[in-house]
Amino acid sequence: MRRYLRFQTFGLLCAAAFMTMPIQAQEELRVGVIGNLSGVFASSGTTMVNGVRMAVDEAGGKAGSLPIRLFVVDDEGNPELAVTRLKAMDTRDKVDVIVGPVSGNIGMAAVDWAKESGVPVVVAYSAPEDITMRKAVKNVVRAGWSGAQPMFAFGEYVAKKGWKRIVMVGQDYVFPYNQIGGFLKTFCRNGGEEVIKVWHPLNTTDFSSILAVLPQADAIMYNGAGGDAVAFYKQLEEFGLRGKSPLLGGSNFFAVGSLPAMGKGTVGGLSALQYSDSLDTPQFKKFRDAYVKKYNEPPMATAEHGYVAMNMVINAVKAVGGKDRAKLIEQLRKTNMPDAPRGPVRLDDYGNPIQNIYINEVREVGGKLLNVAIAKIENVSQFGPYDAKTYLADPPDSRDFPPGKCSDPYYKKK
Amino acid sequence: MNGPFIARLALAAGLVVFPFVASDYLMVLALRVLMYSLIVLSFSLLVSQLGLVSLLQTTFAGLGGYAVAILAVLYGWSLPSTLLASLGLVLASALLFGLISLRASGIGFMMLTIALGQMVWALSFQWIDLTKGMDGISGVAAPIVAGLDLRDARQMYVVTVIIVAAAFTASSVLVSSHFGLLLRGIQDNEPRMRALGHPVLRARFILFVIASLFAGIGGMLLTWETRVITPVSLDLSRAVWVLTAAVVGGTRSLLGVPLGVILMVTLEAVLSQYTDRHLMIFGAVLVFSILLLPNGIAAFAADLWARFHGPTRATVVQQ
Amino acid sequence: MSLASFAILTLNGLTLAALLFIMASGLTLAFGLMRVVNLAHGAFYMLGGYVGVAAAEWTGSLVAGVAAGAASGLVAGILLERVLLSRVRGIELSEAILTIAISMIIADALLAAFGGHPQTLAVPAELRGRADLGLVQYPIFRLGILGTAVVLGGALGLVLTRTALGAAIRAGVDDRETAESQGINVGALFAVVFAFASVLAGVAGVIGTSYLSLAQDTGVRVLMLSLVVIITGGLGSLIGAAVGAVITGLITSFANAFVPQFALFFLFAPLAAVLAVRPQGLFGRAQR
Repeated sequence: MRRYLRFQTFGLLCAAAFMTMPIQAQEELRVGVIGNLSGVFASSGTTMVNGVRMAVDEAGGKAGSLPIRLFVVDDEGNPELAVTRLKAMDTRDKVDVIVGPVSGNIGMAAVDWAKESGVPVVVAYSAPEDITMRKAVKNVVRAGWSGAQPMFAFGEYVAKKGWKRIVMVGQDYVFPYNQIGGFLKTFCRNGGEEVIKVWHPLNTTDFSSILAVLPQADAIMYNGAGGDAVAFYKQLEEFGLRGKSPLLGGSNFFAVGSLPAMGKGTVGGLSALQYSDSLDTPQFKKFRDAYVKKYNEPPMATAEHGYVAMNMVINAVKAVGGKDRAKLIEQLRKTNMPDAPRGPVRLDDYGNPIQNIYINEVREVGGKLLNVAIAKIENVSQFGPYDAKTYLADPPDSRDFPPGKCSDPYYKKK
Repeated sequence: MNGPFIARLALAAGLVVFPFVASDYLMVLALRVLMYSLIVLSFSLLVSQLGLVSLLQTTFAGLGGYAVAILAVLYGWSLPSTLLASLGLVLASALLFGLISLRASGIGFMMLTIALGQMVWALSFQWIDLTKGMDGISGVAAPIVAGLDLRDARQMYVVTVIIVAAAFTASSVLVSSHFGLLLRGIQDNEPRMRALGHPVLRARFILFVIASLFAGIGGMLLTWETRVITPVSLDLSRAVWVLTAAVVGGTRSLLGVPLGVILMVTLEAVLSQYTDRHLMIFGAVLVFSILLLPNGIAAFAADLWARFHGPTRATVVQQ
Repeated sequence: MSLASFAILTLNGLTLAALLFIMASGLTLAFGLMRVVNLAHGAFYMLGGYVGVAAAEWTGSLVAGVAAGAASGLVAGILLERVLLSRVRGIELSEAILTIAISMIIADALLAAFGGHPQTLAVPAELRGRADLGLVQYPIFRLGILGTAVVLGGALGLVLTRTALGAAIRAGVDDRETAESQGINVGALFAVVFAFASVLAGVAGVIGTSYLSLAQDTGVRVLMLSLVVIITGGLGSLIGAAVGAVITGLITSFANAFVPQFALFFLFAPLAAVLAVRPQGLFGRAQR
């Protein structure tokens, strides 16, 4: 019996090897979707894919006359594996376009792959600014944002509220650098005094030590997301620091998926994003209601971005009347969506959206914790109040740039 | 012309013909298999010859990858200098880590390799000025070597298969040489070998350094092939992948290395397409593999062969 | 740095040490008996955490949550040991891979069942808030975790030194062959210790989630810290687990405050240093 089982196992393993045969191409639109479907950012990836599927369903499974076939793949948070799976989707599945990814480092690897392979990519959520700045490629566009984009408005808002001294605790990598970078550039030019930056490595579980020596300030900002963010918030409460000063967040800090775990103490927390959990427009409500009906929870920003990314593809294919690659790329770059759930979205010359930014406040609405838009700034590009040339002339954001002290000579220019 | 000779001839012929008949997709998989085979080979040698479970092999691979990425992309060094410096870095790390860990054995050794590997991993995402942190370095273009543009998959294949064949041949020679006997003697009964006057620590070092170079080269090739290196490549989960490939393939013979890697790469490529629960299924396949084929696929295949063709020299000489 | 800050950093370190001791104590004894390191231990922490948090939310009772966490750890531990590990007894690589494979399966199953959003445990109102310790104010629940670990350590110490069961375990850890020749059923002892360790992991998962968040990668992080503790302290030694936990907890706490960028590096450096000089750890036995 055991020998038989061994043969079975061996045979199965051999059979697995044969399942790598390539598929024959037919007349359909093949869309490869890639995101974090496992690991620490699994909720972002799976909700993005939910949004994509919803867009496909709403379109009746077709882009114009072409049936849509989705190939959904997990990048497991591993850029090297992501490139291999992207290559597989290109060579084996012969995809016409890629939608995704979600994580920053996967996004950087994907745009490089796209440059080499020529496959059109609609980046759903990855936010490193270089994807549509210093490393921009013709066949890559974004449905989402760059890290600094929502923070220009936030810096100005916070400074004008009279909170001049902010202490920021943030995850030590490029995305938070971009976020506080955008914030500082307007904060310091609108009356702010200082942002004290306390960086911690990713995978920090216990913030009690940082909180024990946290400097006094007018407001506390947490610049990060995910499990680290939730732990930070819980420990802030634990040590009695929550009520003492206003709480600000990076764009993903108060992500609606994390709010239940963080609890009602988050009410009043402020952040900025190109999306809000509660907007008063008919197109948002339609999207939100459909998503809640299907998935039983309020849509995260990643869900709406997956939805918009897929719709960008569908609209482009309809406008072109087919899936000719060069025409598709040209059409994608001309994307103009005045009625996306988040508000009007159109792409700039670099392929990044120009869109509304919302200042969000956490409120309890109908028993649920949601980010409610309390202010709206229109037509914001990835360069904020600057033009491309001026912005790109600055050094890239880092731990120390832009400087935390507003008295620094850097802020005297412009 | 006996069995093993025909088998080797067929294998060589297959490898030569492969790039002409394989689809683009199979080329992608084949390159991944070849490159990971180098890394898994380095692991397997240490296990089979010295009984040492080293979770540092992916660290060496990652160091090789980071070196070529940083030197070529960030500093614009030429290929010969980049290669020299990268191999030098791998060599230096092997000497340093070997010094720290090779006096231990068994679980102590394994844990030391975990600790050292985690330290390098931590550095890779915290030393942002050098490594660009979590975003890693992308756009690492493969070089042009001896008229071959390695950015083309088939030309990369030629160079890779030559390197891998050389590594396996060298390993095979090493395993059946006196040095190999010495190593396995040390694994069997270290005090006796020491008493006989054999240089135990030096022998371990030599194998450790050779293995690290194989792994480092594998890492460099992978970085050129995928054009990206990030701290994820230095993660413990990658070391576990290598461990799994080696054990499932079988550590009793070198054949286990490619078999294990082919299985892992195939599962990786196939499962994710069909289900969101691919990690669970992957784990289940591992469980069945370990329970039903405890000596690995290679040993099972060799048993099958022996059953039908009678024992060969390879199957009779068991450990 | 003020005395108050120093006190808080020390307390932070000790509460982390407490959590780690709860995780590491069973793990190290299991290794001492059968030389098996359960690499699914972190997954058991996650399992206990997710199940316990869900139970606590559903019933509104923290005790129910802890019990549920303990029970899930127990079931998982028994299943892993009886059904799988017993089949590959003695083959270290196979044991290692089996436990790794199980941790992959558990992590994915938890993702499927509970989704990917981070979770926390809602601490009951009576236990929220801070105790006034004179010099500083410190969260009550964390002091509770500290107390739990001390009681556990004391109880385990008593069992090991004053009971026949404890003597048998110590004999088995010391020298398995001799113990077996004396009639001690080391295999059965191992099953008991393994199950107990898994219960502890499940409980740690619930109480840890009161202030640490629970996400898909929490299991690996906790496992890594536990391994650092038991290897520094010495595999098979309960005192080693305690000392290792205190060292690891304090280093983590102070490093996070003063050199947060290199905190992870500082976590592993002492481990590497200890092992390089004394490969069996601080209180471990030299390799046989």
